[in-house]
Amino acid sequence: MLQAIALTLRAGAKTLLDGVTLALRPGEVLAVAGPNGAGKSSLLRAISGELVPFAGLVLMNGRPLAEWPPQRAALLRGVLPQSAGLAFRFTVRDVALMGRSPQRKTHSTAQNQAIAEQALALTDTGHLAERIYTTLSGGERQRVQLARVLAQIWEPQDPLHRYLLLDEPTSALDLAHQHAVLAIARRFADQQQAGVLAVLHDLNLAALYADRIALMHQGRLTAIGTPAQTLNSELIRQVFAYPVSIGSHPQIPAAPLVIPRRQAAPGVQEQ
Amino acid sequence: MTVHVQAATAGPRLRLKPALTRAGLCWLLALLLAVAALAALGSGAVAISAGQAAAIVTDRFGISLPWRFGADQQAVLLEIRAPRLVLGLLVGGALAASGAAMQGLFRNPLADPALIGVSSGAALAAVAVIVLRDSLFGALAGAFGAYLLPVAAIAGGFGVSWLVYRLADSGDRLDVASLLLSGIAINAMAGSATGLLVYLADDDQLRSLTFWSLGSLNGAGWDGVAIGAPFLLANLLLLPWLADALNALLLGEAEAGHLGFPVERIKTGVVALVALGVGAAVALSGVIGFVGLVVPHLLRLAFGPDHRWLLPSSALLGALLLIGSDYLARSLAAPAEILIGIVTGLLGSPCFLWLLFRQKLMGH
Repeated sequence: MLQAIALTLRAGAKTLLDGVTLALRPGEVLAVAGPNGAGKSSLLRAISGELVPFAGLVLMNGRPLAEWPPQRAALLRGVLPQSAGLAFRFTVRDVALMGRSPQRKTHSTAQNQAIAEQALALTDTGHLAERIYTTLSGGERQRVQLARVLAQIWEPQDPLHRYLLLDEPTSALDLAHQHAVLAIARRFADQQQAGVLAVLHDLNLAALYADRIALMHQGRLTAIGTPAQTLNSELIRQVFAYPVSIGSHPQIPAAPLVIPRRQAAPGVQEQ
Repeated sequence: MTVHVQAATAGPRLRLKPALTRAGLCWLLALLLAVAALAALGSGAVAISAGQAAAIVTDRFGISLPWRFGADQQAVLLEIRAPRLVLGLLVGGALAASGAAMQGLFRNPLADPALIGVSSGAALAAVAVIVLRDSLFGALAGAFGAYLLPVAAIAGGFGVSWLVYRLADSGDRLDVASLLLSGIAINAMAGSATGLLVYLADDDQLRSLTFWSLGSLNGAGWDGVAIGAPFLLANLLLLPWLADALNALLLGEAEAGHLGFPVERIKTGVVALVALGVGAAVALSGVIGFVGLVVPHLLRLAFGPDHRWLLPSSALLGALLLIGSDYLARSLAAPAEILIGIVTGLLGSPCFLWLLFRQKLMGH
């Protein structure tokens, strides 16, 4: 399990996270949703160890994050950044191969290259391998970065569980690739018993692929539970300050479908 | 990089493909460097053929080769040209490798090792020693003798870089953007202080000051090489160890951390190695510009940005460029000598402009 216990994070006088406690379980996909500035990315960055919390603790497989040697931790958890700039002209293959940095001494170059290729194929970017990363579209870059992160935590580390932390993995993707990427995350959780945490803005994507949804608001965890428990109109209106109706997915009746109301035109009263 | 060249009209089709592998290019550079080294040993007022040069060197190790040489040739080669060559190799290599590492650290292909203040600090210390030797540093000059100047320059370069580093270090992390900005400020300050000292200098001192501002391998002896070699070698041998980490840093500091690299230690290590190497280079040969900027940039075009190739190939091309420039500096106006910084500037700045315009034309 990857646990955040009473995490508090501050930047100057501003409190980014206020006592957040949640656990990412092996084999589950946990979606984190909430309005802009709610602390979703801060939570992900604190859980990944990038930001040191003001108070609280992160435990990975029962051991405080700070006690994991960085190279060992790198084999267990991969982090997809919200956006990754790269000033220099690396090929896509080189970028994916960087994901194998933690294994550069334990595996042969050929092995690492083979895994990088497989990861690229998995995210539908194998055909881009020779391309220069900086010339790709935003969505293509995001998928290449996902391949890099998957290559990093490719091998099982039994008996330890692995974790994949995705910060808005679908933000630059077209419809088909949004679903393809979340299907990869879903499969990674199911087949590898890995825990996947994904910050998502699209509540319907969350409902289709996540086991649980965590709703955040003003640095706090407002609700956490199955999509059916968390995606109700009252809770969503409270967190997002926007009215929605809840339907059900025509293909999967158990999955709630969030249907936003139309914004009233300025000056027009609408009920 | 693949290069296709095709003849436009009839005639044999010229097709170069793929131009050179990365390993092949490294070997080619090493070969050119060896040829240039032999040529540098041979050229000058006392002519020495490549065979004679080889015979003189192996003679030192008790192996005689069939080429005959005179005692004057032996003395010139071993006492003047060989230390100058060794210094040129080490300084050129360290400057270019440091430039590659700085460009990686700053994630900016236009970064230069001088950014962290090491060159201006070393030059300031050297100028201070030259101008104030009699008034302030009398006692020190007695203690250090001829070593005072290089030792002060190394200390000055390291001290100023340390100051720049401290200003950018917020306790738990080094902010690379602040490093750049504090470097600019401290560089300007050191430049002004150097300028003030120049006012106090007499004619003789001014002549030696020019040496520091434009650089020269003239006056290199084995004692100077012995002072600088440990720092220059540390720079050349240890920077390539950080190649994987520098690659990962290009993805972002957080990303490199997630990949298991000790990011803060690596940033500190790069700054320290560059300060040592460039500080020693400036102490022994003055401020030689453009090598650290242009060489890695050119090689990145040929090789791609992978530091595992970029660092060693930069060291090779930097050494080659410096030896070539030194050869030109010695021979263009013989028997007088041009300062090497003038030559590297003349070669480097058009290269640099070409790179800029090329980037502009290609749109990135």
